[in-house]
Amino acid sequence: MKKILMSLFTIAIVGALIGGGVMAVFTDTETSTGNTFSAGTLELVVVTSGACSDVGKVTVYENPDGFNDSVVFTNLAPGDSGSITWTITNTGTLPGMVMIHRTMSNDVDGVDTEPELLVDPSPGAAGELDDNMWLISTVTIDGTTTFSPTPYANWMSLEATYPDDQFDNLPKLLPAGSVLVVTYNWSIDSGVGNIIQGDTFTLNLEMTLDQVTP
Amino acid sequence: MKKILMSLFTIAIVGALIGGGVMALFSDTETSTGNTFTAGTLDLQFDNDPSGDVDNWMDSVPNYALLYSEEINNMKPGDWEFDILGIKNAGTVDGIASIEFTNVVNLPGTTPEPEVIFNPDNGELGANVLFTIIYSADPNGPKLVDKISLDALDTQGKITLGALNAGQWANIWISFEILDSVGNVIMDDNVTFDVVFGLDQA
Repeated sequence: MKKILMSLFTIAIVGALIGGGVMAVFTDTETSTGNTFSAGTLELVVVTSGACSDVGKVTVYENPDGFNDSVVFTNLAPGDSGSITWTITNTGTLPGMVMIHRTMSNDVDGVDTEPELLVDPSPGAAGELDDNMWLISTVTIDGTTTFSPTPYANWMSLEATYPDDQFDNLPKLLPAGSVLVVTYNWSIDSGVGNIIQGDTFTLNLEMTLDQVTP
Repeated sequence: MKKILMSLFTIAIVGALIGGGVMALFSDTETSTGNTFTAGTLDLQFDNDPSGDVDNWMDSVPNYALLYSEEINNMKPGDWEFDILGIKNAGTVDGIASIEFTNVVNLPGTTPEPEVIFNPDNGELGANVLFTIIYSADPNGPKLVDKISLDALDTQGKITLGALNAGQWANIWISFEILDSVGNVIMDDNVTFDVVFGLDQA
């Protein structure tokens, strides 16, 4: 029995020694930590401004990114002129395709005065202000026009009837950091007379930047 | 058979993932709605209350005025009449008020014996009726616009009265007199004319 115990002890000792030998073989370990995936960004920031030949007739509602901007002109008269400028920046890190969709709404006669009723063949119908307002639109990306060879120059009332791509030659690529500037320069025909009195209309723009399809 | 089914299942899963990826591309939309253009108004109105105590504005010359298609007969040297017309810019755009005398037509009527010495009788009343026009609008107060014969007024075209801003009212004094010194040359003569009141955008 004693021999048996000694043998087991010997085996244990040898086993321990052999085990120690295994722990001491050559080895090497390399790591690859910090492998990071970061998504890019795609963001439009629009800054809206407006001007009028009579500064008291224009109010600009420029709001933080994500909120609606607008420019409101009131008490306009024949001979007045002005502009709206939308400065649209791709502040993200990815390029995108930018496009603008335009609509006109609330085109009405508004207040009908006696002088207007004398000359307006259709009082209470659509207003005539947009029919007598000349519009020249320019669209640039980083200072280069999207038009070739000329910008839109026509009556305001026809603006929303033009297909979007024919009006501004969009959509186009807007690289990260690039700036699209849309300017509407308008003027009211000085010979239009009383037919536009109290008339009103509203322009609406929706600007979209879509990721370029991989 | 089981392998085929697994392959089809795998294709379906991959297709769904690709489809989901397309639908979730980055996009940002901003709006600029409510950009509004509104024209102002300009409307000349007259005070229809001769006393001036009550606001009763109308879009034509009130019929109490002497200049409202009024015939003034049997005039003679020394006669004198006047109108005071209240006017208002009932619009929202500042304006300039004006007055114009047009279509002056002199007729000789009969030529009685005392007038015969002035033959030919062409109708001389227009040349001898003297109009005085005064325009009074706050804050400037009364201003003499013109003091001139009717025939001379006919050559003046549109005569500027003065500013009439949005919502402002003013008075136009128009008097006409036949001077004592005229004498018999106007006997039975008559003259007709139109008066046009204007308000133009400033």
